Amino acid sequence: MELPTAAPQAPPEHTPEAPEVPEIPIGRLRERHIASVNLQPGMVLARPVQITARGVLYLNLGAGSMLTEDGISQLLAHHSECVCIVENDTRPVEEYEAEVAARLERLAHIFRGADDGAATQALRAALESYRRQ
Amino acid sequence: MEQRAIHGHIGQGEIIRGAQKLPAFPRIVQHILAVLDDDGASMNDLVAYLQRDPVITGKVIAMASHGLRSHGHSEVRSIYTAASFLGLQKIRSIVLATSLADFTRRSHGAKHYWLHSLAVGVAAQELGAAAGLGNDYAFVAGLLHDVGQLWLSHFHGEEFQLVRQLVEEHGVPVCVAEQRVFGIDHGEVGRLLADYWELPADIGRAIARHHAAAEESWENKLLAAIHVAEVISNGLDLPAAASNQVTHLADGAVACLGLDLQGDCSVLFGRIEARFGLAQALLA
Repeated sequence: MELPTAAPQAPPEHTPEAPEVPEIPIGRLRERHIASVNLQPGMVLARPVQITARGVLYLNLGAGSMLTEDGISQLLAHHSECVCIVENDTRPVEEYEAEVAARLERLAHIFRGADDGAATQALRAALESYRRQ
Repeated sequence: MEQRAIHGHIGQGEIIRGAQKLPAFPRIVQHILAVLDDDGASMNDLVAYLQRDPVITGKVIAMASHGLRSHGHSEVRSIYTAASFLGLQKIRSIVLATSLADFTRRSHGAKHYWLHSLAVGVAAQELGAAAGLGNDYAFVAGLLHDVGQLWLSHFHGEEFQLVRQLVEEHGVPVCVAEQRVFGIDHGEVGRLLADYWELPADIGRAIARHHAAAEESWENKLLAAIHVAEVISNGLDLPAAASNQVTHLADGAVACLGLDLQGDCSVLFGRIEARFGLAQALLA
């Protein structure tokens, strides 16, 4: 079982892959989930990955770990399905803003007939927040 | 619009007779659901079962090869190597999705119907895992939640188009439109099919009631997962379609799953999108 957690954690002493300092230039960053089979060396984990089975911790990679070929192989060997990576957002600000505006417009269309129930509106807010990333 | 059925009431007998004319429902689905709790035996058992079906075996090997090749390993040639690489849970999901995709194709189901089912299956699996539900139950119920529509479009194509028209052009809720045209909605048709195929009763109940009725008590996590999964997959635009719409998410279903929509949902949404994208590329 794979348990992605939200809060960044320091990796334990016996982490199979030593964390490295990510080489991401300071600027706008964006997180995205990616299927583990599509991971590439050099990608950086946005969130820690812990893989456990029957209560035993098999793999623990901290947020900020830069993935190597070996680390990816370990994730795949432990049947990881997808992980969250962080990458430099190279889109110009105008392009980024236009993309977000288009996504929010699409979301408004999807919710065009939505009721004002608490759960419906909470989902809409959660999706808006997600689409702004 | 008159409230009586336009087509005339479709009864249980007609649905079962229709089911007998559909392609054979994949027996591997019942087999996987039957051996869920037998962790020790089920991998060997499943691989032995798989070897009887070259199409599914090919898909499993292809998926394992995709994962290994992209990281410089040699191609997978045997089902045993593929099973070992992918793990039991993933193999089950691939087999369930592949066999039900094949069933849908042979039943002349539209591609969008299948992709929507796949998205709801993936979302239900994610929600189910977080809520402590069995992965495969949620996945199968998600994949089959609209199987009643498959039956209706297969045997009553023209009337089914009338339903689509009522929904898309006049904003009539789908179950109301189906009741008007057929005297029964696709959830109930799906439940009768699930019973006929001897699927677990919980799956049949979830299929029957996934369109939230106001009076629903929402004590059943599987039912809640299918309802919420369908709404979230529409909200995420999976698969992209002009007709995607969110009208209602039941408060009770969200509470039943312990889902906190006020918190950070980006992991849930991100995982659903990533897993659906991969499944679509490899299975659809």
